[in-house]
Amino acid sequence: MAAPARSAVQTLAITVLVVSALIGRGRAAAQSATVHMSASHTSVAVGDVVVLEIRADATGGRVQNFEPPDLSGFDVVSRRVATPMSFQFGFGGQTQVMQSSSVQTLELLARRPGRYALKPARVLVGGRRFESNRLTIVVVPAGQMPPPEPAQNGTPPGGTTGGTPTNPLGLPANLLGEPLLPQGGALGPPTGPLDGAEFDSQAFVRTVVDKREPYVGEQVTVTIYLYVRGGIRSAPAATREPTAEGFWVHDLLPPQRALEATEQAVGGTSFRVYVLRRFAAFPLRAGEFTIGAMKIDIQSGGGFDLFGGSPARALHRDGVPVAIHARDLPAAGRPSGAVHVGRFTTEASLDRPQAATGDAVTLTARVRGSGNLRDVHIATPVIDGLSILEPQIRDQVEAPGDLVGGTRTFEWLMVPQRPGAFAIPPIGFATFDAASGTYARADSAALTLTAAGAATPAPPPEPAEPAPGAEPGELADERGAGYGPLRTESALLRPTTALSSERWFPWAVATSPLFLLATLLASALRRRAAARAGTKAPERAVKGARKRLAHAESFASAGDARGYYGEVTSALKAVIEARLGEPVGGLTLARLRTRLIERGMPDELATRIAEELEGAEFARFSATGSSPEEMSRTSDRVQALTERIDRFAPVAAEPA
Amino acid sequence: MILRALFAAVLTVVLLGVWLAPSAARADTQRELFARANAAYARGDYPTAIRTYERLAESGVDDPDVSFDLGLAYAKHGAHGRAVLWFERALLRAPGDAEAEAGIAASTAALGRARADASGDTTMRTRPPFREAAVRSVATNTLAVLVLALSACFFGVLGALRFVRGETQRLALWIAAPLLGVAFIVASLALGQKVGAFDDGAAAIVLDEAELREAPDPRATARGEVREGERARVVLRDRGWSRIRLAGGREGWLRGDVVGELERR
Repeated sequence: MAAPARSAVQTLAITVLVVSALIGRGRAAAQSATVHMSASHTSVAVGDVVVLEIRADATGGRVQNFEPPDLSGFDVVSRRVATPMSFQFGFGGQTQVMQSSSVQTLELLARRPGRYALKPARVLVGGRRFESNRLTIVVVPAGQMPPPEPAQNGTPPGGTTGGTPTNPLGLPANLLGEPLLPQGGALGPPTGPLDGAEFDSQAFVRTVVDKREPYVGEQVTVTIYLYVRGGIRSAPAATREPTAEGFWVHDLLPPQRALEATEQAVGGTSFRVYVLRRFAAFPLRAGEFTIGAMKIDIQSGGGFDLFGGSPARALHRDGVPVAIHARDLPAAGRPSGAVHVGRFTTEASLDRPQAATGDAVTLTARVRGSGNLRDVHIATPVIDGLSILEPQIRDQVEAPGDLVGGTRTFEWLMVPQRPGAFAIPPIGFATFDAASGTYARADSAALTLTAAGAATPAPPPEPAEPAPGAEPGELADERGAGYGPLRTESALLRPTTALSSERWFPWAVATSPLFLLATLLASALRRRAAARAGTKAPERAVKGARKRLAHAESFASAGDARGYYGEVTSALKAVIEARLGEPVGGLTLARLRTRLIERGMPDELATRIAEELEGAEFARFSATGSSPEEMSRTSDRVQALTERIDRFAPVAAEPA
Repeated sequence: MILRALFAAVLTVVLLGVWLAPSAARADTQRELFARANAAYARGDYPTAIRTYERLAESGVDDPDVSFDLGLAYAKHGAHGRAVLWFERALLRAPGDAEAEAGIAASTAALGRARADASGDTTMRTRPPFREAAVRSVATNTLAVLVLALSACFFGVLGALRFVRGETQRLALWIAAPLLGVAFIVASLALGQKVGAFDDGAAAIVLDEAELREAPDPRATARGEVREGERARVVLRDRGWSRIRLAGGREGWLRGDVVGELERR
């Protein structure tokens, strides 16, 4: 394909893609939902209570047909449903997106020991079915200590699993008579004693961490809530962001989101609770740290609060700093070298197992799992006979269910210096699983690279044949400093002509102004034509009147006085209408005379016209006495009147 | 009938094969060249890597990654003027490439250190002029599409003002018109800057230390020296010589092989 044509096709494709993406986005926004299921505990003893929460957030539709999973093995002690709802309005009020949520909270009493794999909960939104994550709850016999709770995919560490403070008995606080309200789901505040906040009856900021004593490198989920009585009128303005010195931080909330409120009662007062910030913080070293207090300005008083509505009040609130004690990893069983906290697996592969000596081969290691992935480092392997460059590293960090993890990919370029089989040892590192408190290793399988062909000489200390312009030996000690790694992947693109260099580009830019100019020109020409048509109207009317008078003569010759006077009347009125530019057919003769005078016609002419019309009307309906001579005289008079009317210049029209 | 259709199908396949085969073979050769260049680089054989990358570029490849690797190879080999040129070319094709920008900075710094070692002290211009820096991170085609879109929007709004009667709509159009107009002018200026409409001459890098001469002849009087890595504008070309204008306004003639133009010709 020729370069211009290719560019045109590319531009068209980009335009289509952008438009499709915009349309698609609109459609996607029209109907989507996320369903999340979490439990207060995933390991309990028989007789314990588990709070199971299923939250569905739907955009563009209402959550319907909530189907909880099969709960055999548990007694449902209570069931609560909360349905907070919000609306988002787009630019100019053009788009209106309904966001609805439904939170089902079930208190389950474990009856029988066993491992219960709960199937996904299902909801129906706008006719489409959405499913939640799966969840496994382990129930041990009464009296036994439940095993440590493993982190489950989709279970937010800062959500109900780790975030709900529990009492020594492991029972939810409300079963002990403490005041609790339905929880707000994954983004809702934890129930129980009010920690991380200074209570205020109007509004206060609460900082909640899911762990106070994490290990170094273990994820701590920090959530900052705003409690407001009666809601807020606009988004709170942060005057100081929460600090997290000594932590590596990953934000868990999307940059653009609707500020949703849940309800919670504190000390008998109902508050609306908003999530202001949520992030994962990984302690970088052992010691005492502080999550600094957030400071905000808010306008309290919900605009749509019909019952508890109060005038807007500007409030300033400070959060409470929260202390975190980061523990060092347990010494017992700790392997030597670097240990990464989290659950990881490592896979390694070669782009080809055999290569010619001197050819480059790519060794790829993929580290997957949950934890502070960006902290994972793998030393470049040292293998005799293989020259290995520093790796290219790519990250794909995700946080499903608020658990930070993803994939970190290392790519090494290796060049065999001599023929033979090279054993690449397992690539990996030591890990520490904070949930189980155990050390492990995330190692790949060992690989073998076979090189064939003559041995390549070692890199020449001085190039035998210098490249053009090169000065060998110069700055040798500085080479490599500040440069990125070699790029081993390339699309090998061909040159393309820039759009702006295409011959059609100036014309394309000029099209819009030229089109505008043409439109304005056409509009002006149309106006002028209309004006010209307006000027010629009286001339045409006079011509028409003469024709009608000539036609009237034929009636007169035939002795048809009724037809004659009818034509005369029509001719006269047509000339008057054309001259005045307004209809006169509905006016009485007296009113017509007045109107003609109003438009500046001499009284004498107006009177004559009225008289002539009156005479014609009279003769028309009593035409028996009209002689041909009389009709001939009438023709002469009307002809003269027509010419006088044609010369008459009316003043500007006013409403008749 | 069936035989005729079969014959037509076979003929089409053969013709397609004949048409596509050279380009497929060329792609294979270029991939091989790229792999060989990478391997040479990995061995530390930078002259071979440079020659192989250059061959790839001469074969019609104009890829930012290849330009970057070539810049890297030149830098590792100590030819920092050429390294800057190829990093700049990588940036031209992939605006905002942080590694290419870092490469330019590192090579410029290396040149500065070498010059300081030789002459005691030196001053290096590490940043491009403001006008150039302002549009550096935006691709030419992006600006071109933006200019087209803004032109359509701006004049469309002006046209709509002629016909729309609703007071609210007219107010919105009156607000949008100047904003779109300003955006259109800014985008047009940026595109003009990007394609060098306001500059007299093509952007270039001086590749080696050389004498600046008064005429395109090695016997012409020398006007002074130019330094490796200096930015310049090529205002004239004559029989393998280039008349360049340096940042301070100095002008003179240099041999063409000492001047590397950013846009490959």
